[in-house]
Amino acid sequence: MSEKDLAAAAAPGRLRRALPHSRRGRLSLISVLVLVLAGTALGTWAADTWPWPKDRYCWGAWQEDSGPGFLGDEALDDDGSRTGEQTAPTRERPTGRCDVTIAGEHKSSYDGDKVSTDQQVSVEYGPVPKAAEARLAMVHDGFLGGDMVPLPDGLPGTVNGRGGLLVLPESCDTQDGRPTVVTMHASGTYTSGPSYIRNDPADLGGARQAAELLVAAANRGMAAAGCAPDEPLRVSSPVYDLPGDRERVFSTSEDVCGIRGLHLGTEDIEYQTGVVTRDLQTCSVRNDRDGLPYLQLAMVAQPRLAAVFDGIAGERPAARGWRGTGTTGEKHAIVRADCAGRPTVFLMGASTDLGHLAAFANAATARLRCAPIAPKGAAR
Amino acid sequence: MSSTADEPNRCEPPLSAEPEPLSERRLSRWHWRRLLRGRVRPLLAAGLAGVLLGAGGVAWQTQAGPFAPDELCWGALSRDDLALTFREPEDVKVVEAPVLRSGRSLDGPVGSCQLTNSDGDGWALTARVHQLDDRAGDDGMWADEFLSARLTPLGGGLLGMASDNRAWLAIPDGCLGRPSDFDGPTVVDIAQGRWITDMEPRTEQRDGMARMVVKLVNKVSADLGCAGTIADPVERLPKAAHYTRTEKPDALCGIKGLTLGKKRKPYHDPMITDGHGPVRTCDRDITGSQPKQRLMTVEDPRLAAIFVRMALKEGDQVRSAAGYGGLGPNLGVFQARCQTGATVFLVQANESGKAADVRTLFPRYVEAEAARLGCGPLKLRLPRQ
Repeated sequence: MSEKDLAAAAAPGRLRRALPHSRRGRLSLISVLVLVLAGTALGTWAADTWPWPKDRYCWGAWQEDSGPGFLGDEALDDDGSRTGEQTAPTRERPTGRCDVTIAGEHKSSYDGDKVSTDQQVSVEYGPVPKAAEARLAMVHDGFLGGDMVPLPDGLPGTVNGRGGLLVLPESCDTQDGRPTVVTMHASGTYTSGPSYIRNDPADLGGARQAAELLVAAANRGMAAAGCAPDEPLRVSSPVYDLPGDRERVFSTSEDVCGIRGLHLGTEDIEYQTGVVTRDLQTCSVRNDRDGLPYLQLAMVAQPRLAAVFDGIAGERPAARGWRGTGTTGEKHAIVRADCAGRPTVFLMGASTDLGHLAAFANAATARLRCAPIAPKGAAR
Repeated sequence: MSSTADEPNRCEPPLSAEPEPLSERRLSRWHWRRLLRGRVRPLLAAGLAGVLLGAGGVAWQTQAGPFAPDELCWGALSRDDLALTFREPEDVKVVEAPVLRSGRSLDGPVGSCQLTNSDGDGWALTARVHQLDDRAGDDGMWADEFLSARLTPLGGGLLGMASDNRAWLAIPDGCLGRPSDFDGPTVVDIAQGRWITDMEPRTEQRDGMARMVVKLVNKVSADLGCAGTIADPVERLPKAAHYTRTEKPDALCGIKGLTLGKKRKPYHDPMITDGHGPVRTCDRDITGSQPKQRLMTVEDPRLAAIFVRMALKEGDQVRSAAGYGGLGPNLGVFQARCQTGATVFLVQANESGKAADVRTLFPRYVEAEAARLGCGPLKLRLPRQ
């Protein structure tokens, strides 16, 4: 205490003695200081390394101005704002969530209408729901459509420019064996005047960038929940394949999804194939006017992704003569059977007509060189 | 540029002498030391330093002089990468055209790079970036050479293949976008030597070509501003393709039930694509670069796009419940929509007098291959003879 006081008292004297005495000396010292400051400022400006910390979002996984549009300045109007809200998972309660919200408002220079944008990127961390319908709605409807592609580097999950899903390693499974997943979703609306409103989701910067955002959030989430693997998950490869175009259907008897014999008796639909590999196959049929799902089909054999559907395929065959086990719910059907040595899941959404699932599953198994799932005559 | 490069040489003596103490006080009037005394010296030193720095900076910026990286073909390859392809990698000379986005916005980027050394022009290696297009003949000679059964699919979901003298790999969809249903993919391909030859490819050289084409695609993608690096594919590759010497007359090209008759077996052994890939090709009797007989299934819809016109125009129309195609005297081609998307089946004879064989094999081949792809039943009704 006393030493400190002494030092403080002595300081001004020492400082004065250290400073140059002449007027000219002081002047040159000051000008040198000014020059150094200016140089540093110029340098930091040029290298874009301002000393103020940048904002971080999603448990620290994402940094302001780090690449994707929604984290950059261009996402903000003059008086727009970007805010983050988050709940990190913990060991005791391994569910979490974070949202980045971008809001802006301005007067249109064209017609003076009030224009407002409201965009959001949400990440959810947690085990998949217990109930079959809820789980299928979340995973199949949300992330196994024909507009998604697999995550790069064989990571179990899917991605596109508006979001993605990643299944975490077994160390993050719940005690009853349900995998934990991280999902990301970009949404948003653009409103002009009293009546014009359209979808305007936040810009994730494309599927590759989205995959990086998703994996970064997953790594932070796992660390917070105490189940992170030794090596953090990483994306290094490019997104190699993108989904095919949406294909129009020109007659009621035309095949959809490239499945011989799968026709739906209507022309007002289009279909899109996302991925067709040994691990995963997705196809979505939509109403061509409103884009609403008409029939959603998926085959999942990638072990971690298939594990998401463990325990909801029932104990008995889906129908008489079907292989494996299966159930039909209100809006979904699921069949689980062995194919080429792997437990494989066949999913159908937006319809519960088992004839469609039979045509799809039997075509997929023919491609994968394993026994058909549905008996002859079940396909429609 | 050249004048600034000369400057350092001219000023070299003063620089090397500068640190020496001036011991001699009396110097003749025009002695250089006398001239450099006083205020001139620091100014000259500063000027020299500035010139050196400037010249160095320009050289560094433009990657000239000592800063030129010894990297070939758009900076993608080092001399070490050529060790499997050239006997004397140090002597390899390069002529390259940069990869540019085409003036016509609908086409993909274009570029080329040629490597030669004393082995002679016949062993020159040419790397190209181009979008496959049947209007440029890519359904003809390019398909003959680059979709040959000599090439091993690179696997791992990549749209590409490699042999010891040809390799190709598509630039990721995630980089240039997926081509439309009627456009081919933009690829980097490399070719060494004029012919693909009928020899069984050498595995080590095949690995070298596979590595090289991946490096080229990674560099071209990065230069196009795309993220991600494709990993080295070599570890997962099987041994290079070889002739099948155990073909049975009732399972031609290894396809059960495909036959020309119980006793008839072609004279030449087939070479069949090894591994799951964008194509399954069965070639016989390769002369130069062209097989005398080819049975090929193009399973990747992006690659199938370059055969669309062929399927629409070839010979007489073939009918079926799904798809379209044609049959001529030397070529049967059919396009159908399978689970992966557009798929093309092709039966081709490049010698005369084989029309009957083509006509016999074509529908059987299409039916068998469609079944293999989970795309059956696909029965063709051939035009009348």
